[in-house]
Amino acid sequence: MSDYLPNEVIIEILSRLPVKSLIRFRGVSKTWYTLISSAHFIATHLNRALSNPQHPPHLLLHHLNYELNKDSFTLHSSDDPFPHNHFTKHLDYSSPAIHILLLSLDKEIEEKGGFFAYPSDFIELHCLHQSINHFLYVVGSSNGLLCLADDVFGNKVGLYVLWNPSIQKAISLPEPNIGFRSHGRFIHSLGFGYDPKTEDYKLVRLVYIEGTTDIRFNTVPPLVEIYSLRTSAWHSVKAPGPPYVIEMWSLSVFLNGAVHWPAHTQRHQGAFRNVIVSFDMNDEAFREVAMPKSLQGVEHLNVTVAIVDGLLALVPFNEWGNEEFYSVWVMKEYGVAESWTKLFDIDIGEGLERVIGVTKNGEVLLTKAGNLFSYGPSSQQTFDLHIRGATDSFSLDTYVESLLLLNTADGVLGN
Amino acid sequence: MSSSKSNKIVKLESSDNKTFEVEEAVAVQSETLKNMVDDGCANDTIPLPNVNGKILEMVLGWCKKHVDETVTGDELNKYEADFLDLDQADLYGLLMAANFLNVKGLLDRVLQRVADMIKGKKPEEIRRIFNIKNDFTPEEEEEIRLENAWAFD
Repeated sequence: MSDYLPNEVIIEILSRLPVKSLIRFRGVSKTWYTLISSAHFIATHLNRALSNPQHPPHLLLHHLNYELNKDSFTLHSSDDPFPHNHFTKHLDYSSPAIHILLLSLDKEIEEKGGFFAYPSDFIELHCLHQSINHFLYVVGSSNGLLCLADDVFGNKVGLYVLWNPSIQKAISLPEPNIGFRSHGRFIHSLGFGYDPKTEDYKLVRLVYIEGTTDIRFNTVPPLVEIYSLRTSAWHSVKAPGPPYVIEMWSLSVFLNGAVHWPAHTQRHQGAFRNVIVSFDMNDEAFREVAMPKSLQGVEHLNVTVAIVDGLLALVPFNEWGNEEFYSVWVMKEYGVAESWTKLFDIDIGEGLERVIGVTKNGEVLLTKAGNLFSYGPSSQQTFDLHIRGATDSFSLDTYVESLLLLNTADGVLGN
Repeated sequence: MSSSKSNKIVKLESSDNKTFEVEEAVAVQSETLKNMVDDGCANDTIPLPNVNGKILEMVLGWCKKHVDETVTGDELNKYEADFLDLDQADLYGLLMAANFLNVKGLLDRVLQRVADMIKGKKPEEIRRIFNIKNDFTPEEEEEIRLENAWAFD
């Protein structure tokens, strides 16, 4: 190709390239370096990745690997993230003879290294950061940018990191303004998401300061501060915090441009009600989404928010007499309380600890004694994935390759 | 808008003076030619000084295939795959032609094919392919290479 190619054609070609090639091609010329590192190109490349039907987002699994004592981040195909047939070669579960076979297979698989004995099933991400606490916590994942918090236990304000694994770059966030030194003891919950109007990535923090009554963290509203990647700084939020209590370290999800947490009215302050609090990343305002009627009045409700099939979901823990099980509810029409629908119960007897998520093909991922299992709601069968870790360390997110952070100044963790 | 499109013929002349006659329905697969037809500029032979005869014939072949209702989905897929099995020079010519003539489906495919062809290459090979001058000093180039060593394996 010895003639001159117009610039727009070059951009069209480059935007179809994988990230690794683009990083390398920055070395072609100064023009290409500037072009590839430009905010406009980064956005163009990302938009193409997001709208490409041939490359749907990956599933990102995080857990603390006990054996190696480090955080493990692996990417799996969203269509069949944990291929069962690698273990069982299409066994018929209903046959009694299978159970003996499965036990011996289990041992064999364990010796090989569990699910990770089949390296073609996943891509391992190389995490530069070593947790100073027990393990890292994934606050959220947005357009290929992961937000990690290194503070799981207690009220310490730990490290926050924004990490783009596909360009192997991470930046450390500055210390937030609200902390023990300024406000005394507190609990907090976090949320991470994207503001499409300003093309900004934000981390929001809701801080409940210790009160003086017998219930330690029951004061509303919480203090709110938000970190914006564009400004590289924390700022306080204009709107008042929500009049609800969000329990310590509640997991959040980002959906429809807003972060969502499970919450409830203050205890011992009149009628008790559970609710979902939402925070819109664009107008930075708090709103609420009603929970299903049957869950609204349950005091000490153990529930997580989730996303199932693109819908806002709730996974409450139910205790009926001797029975303990989880349910999965979805809000078929966002914001319409009557549209809450229970999809199914998850009752696998003893040992069920946490529901981590629901995959695109309807598999439920859950943990039992620190082991990750796959559960089929229609067959009600569990399948041991032979992935072991700290129960609270498991998390599931979606992930795409992107160039985000390429044009951000290097932080502490840049290589 | 022009009334009966069914029998109108569009005449095209390549850079090497070859003439091609195609039905209007085939020609308007190209947005550029469609605009000319709509503006009433397509009554005489349209000169295409930046597309040679070989490439123009290929592009018109693509357009013809895509208006042919007897072609099945599978046949079309195979046609498209085989179509792009070209050497670098032809691929480049095709890229320029598809861009200028703005043949939607074709341009996208060619761009992807070029991307797939170059993605594993080294910077020096890219420079050769696109005829780009290396304006980095050896030190600057080395710095980039070191900074992103993982991308150069």
